Amino acid sequence: MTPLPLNFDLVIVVTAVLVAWACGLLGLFLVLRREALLSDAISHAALPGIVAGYWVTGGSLATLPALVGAALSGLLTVGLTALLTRSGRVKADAALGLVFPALFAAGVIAVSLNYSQVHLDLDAVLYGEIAYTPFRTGWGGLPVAWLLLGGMLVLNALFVGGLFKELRLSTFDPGLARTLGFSPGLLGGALLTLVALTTVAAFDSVGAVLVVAFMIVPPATALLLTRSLRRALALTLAAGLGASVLGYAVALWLDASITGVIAGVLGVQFMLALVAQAWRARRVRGRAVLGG
Amino acid sequence: MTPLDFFTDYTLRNIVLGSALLGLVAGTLGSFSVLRRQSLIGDTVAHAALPGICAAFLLTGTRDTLGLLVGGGLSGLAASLLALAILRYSRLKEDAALGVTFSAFFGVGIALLTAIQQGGNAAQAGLEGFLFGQAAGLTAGDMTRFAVLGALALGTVALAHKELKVALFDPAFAAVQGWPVGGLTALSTALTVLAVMLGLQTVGVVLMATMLIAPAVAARQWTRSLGAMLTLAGVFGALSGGLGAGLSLAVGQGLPTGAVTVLTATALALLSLLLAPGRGLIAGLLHGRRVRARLLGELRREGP
Repeated sequence: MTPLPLNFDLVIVVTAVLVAWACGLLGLFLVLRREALLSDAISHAALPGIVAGYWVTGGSLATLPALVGAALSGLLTVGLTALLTRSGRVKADAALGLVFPALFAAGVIAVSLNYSQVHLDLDAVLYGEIAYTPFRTGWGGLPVAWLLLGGMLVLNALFVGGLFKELRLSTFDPGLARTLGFSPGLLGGALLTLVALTTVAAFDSVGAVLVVAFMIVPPATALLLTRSLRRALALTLAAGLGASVLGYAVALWLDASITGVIAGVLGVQFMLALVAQAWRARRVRGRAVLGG
Repeated sequence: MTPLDFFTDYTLRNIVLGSALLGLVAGTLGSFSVLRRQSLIGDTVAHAALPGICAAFLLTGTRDTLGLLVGGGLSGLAASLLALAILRYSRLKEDAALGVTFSAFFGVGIALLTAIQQGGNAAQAGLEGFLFGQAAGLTAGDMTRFAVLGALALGTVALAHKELKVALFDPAFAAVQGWPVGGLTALSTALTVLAVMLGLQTVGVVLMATMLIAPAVAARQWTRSLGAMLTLAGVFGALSGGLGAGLSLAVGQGLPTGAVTVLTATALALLSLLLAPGRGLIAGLLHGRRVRARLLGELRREGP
C-alpha cells in the first residue's frame, strides 16, 4: 500500500498531540491520586516483558509481542506496588521504588544471560524516536503511530468522559464512593490498566521520556491554575497542544531532539504557571490585609 | 573465582569494596528521603544530572570526569531544590513535584545532548554512557573519592543528627525553636544529591535509585529509632553492595553487577518485611492469631 502523501511536519505534530492528549486525560487523575510517578516506573519495568515477548515468539523483533509483554509487566508493577503498599509496612512511594528497579534488573539479567549475542534493540522500544513516525505506515497508509495512539486516545476519552462523575467522586472521596455503591478499587484498577497500555503504546512511537512528561507536567500545570476538575482537564489538553506545536518548531530551529525540546517547553509552561500562581496568591493575601 | 582471589586481585577488590562503600553511604542517606516520602528523589536527581553533564561538557570541551560530575551535581541539586520549592509554593504533592522537575530537566538534557552530537565533537562519544554506569570500571582512585566524600557526608549526618531529626519529624517544633527548617531540609537533600552523584558514573541511574530506598526500607522494619535506622540502613546498603558485586563476579557469565546488586538489595528488603520481629508480616500474622486464640479462650471460659 502506498503511503498517503502526508506532510512530514504534520505527522510529527499530530502524533505529539495524540500522545499529549491520551496521556494528559489519565495523567490528571494520576496526579490527583498521588500516583504521578507510576508512568516512569512502568517505562522501566517494561523491560522484562519485552524480553519475555521476544522469548515467546522465539526471537523475533516484532513490535506486537514486545508491546503485549511490556503492557503485562506494567500491570505487574501496578499490582506488586499495590500489594506492598497494602501490607501497611511501606509507603506508596517506597513500594514503587522497590518494585520497578527490581523488575528492570531482572530484565537486564535476562538479556545478559540469554541474548547477549543478539542485538536486542531495547532502545528502539524504550526510547522510540518521534522523528521516525512518518516512515512507519500501516492500515490505509496512515502512520502506525496515529492508529495506535488515536485508538488509545479514543479509549481514554470514552473512559474519562463516560465515567467522569464516578472518577471525580472516587478520586476525591473514595469513602463516599464506596458507600454509594461504586467500587473505587475497580475504577482505580481500570485507570491504571489504561495508564499501562497508554504508556507502552506511546513509548513505542515517541519514547518513554515524552510519555512521562506528558503524563505529569500538563496536569500539574493545570492544577496550579484552577481548582475545578473540568477546567483542569481543558487546561491539560491546551498545555499539551501548545507544547507539541511550540516544541516542534523550536526543535527544528535548534536542530535538537524533538522529544527533549517538547519536554523542556512543558517545563517552562509549568514554571510560568507556578510563578503566576504564587504571584496571585500573594496579591490576594495583600488585598485581604488591606481590607480591599 | 575463589575467596582467595579477593585479596589478591586488584580489580575484584575494588569492585566489591567500592560497591559496599557506595551502599553504606547511599543506604544511610536514603533513610531521610524514604521517611520524607520522597523515595524517588534519587531517580529524579540522577535524571536531572544530564543537562548539567552536557553543559559542563560544552563549557570545558573535554570528558574530564570531575568537571562532568560537578556539572551534573549542580543541576541535580537545582532540580531537587526546585522540587522542594514546588512543594512549598503549591498544593502539588511529592510525586508530582519530583515528576515535573525530572521530566523537564531530563528533556532539556536530551535536547542538549543531541545538539552536542550534531556538533560533531569526537570527545562527546559515550557522554550518555555516564548515566548508565559500569561497576567493572571501578579504580582505586574512585575508591579514594568514595571514601573521602562518603566520610564527609556521613560525618555531617552524625554532627547534625539531632537537628536533622527534629526538622524531619516535627518541623513545626523545630521552627518554633528557631532552627532553619528549610535549610536543614535542603542540607539533607544536598547530601542525597552527593550520594547519587558519587555512584552515578560507576553504577548508573537505576541502581542508585534502589540503593537509596531498599536498605532504608529494610532497616525501618527492624527499629523505631532514627539513629538505629540510619546505622542499619548503612549496614544493609554495604551488605547489598558488597554481596551483589561479589555474587555477580562469582557467577561470571558477564552478569551485570548493578542488576545483581539491585536484586540483592530488594531481597534484603523483602526478607526484612517478612521476618522482622514486631513489624514483620509473619510476626503480625502470628500476633493476630495469638490474640484471636486468647479472646476465644476467654469467651469460652465466661460462656454459659
